[in-house]
Amino acid sequence: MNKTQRAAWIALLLVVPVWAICGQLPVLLIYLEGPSFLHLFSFACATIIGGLSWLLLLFFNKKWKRKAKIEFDERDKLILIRSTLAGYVVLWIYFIAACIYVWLTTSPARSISVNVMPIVIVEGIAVFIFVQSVTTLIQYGRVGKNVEK
Amino acid sequence: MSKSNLTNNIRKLRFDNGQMTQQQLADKVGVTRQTIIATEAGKYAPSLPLAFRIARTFAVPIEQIFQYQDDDPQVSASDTNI
Repeated sequence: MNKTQRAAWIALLLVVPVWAICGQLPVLLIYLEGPSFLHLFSFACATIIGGLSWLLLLFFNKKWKRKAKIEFDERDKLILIRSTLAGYVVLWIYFIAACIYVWLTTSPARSISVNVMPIVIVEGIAVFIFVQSVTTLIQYGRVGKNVEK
Repeated sequence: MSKSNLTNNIRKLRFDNGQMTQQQLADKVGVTRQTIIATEAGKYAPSLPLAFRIARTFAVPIEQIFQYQDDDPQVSASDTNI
């Protein structure tokens, strides 16, 4: 498993859940209990923690540093470009779908809650990271065959 | 990474060159072992510079390592006429 694959697994198993929960929970609390300084403060903290979850990648990359001379090459670059493009395309589809969904669920006479925006944005980031990680792992595929010990 | 019409005999050449391991070849040509594995399996078509580096490592012409089979025989026939 090389650096890019490791990063994809960490993003998929740790960053996406942290990011998704951090974005959802405070907004849900605000929705249920109404806005207050404590809720807004917790949202800010949660967003910062979610954003800093990328540091996990640096931590695990250092911890699991391998002895291989080269950990990133032309194939990894190609995979990363393709997966980022896939993530970007899905992000736009998600964003359009979210806008249409919100528009359809609220009648024209009613206004859209401001709580919707942070959810859409934070979950959009989670969707992007999720799709990028999954497509990265799919492109690497299973390398059990043709491997020599 | 889809399978291409590109075939290769890197595996054979590795064994002909003193049982070279995938990691040794990867280190010599400056890529990861996974790239060598994928190239050997025909799952990845390497870039031209990488193909040249592999050929240089085994000291053979590039055509001896990589072969391209065209699906359309007319295209290959016209190419050879040029």
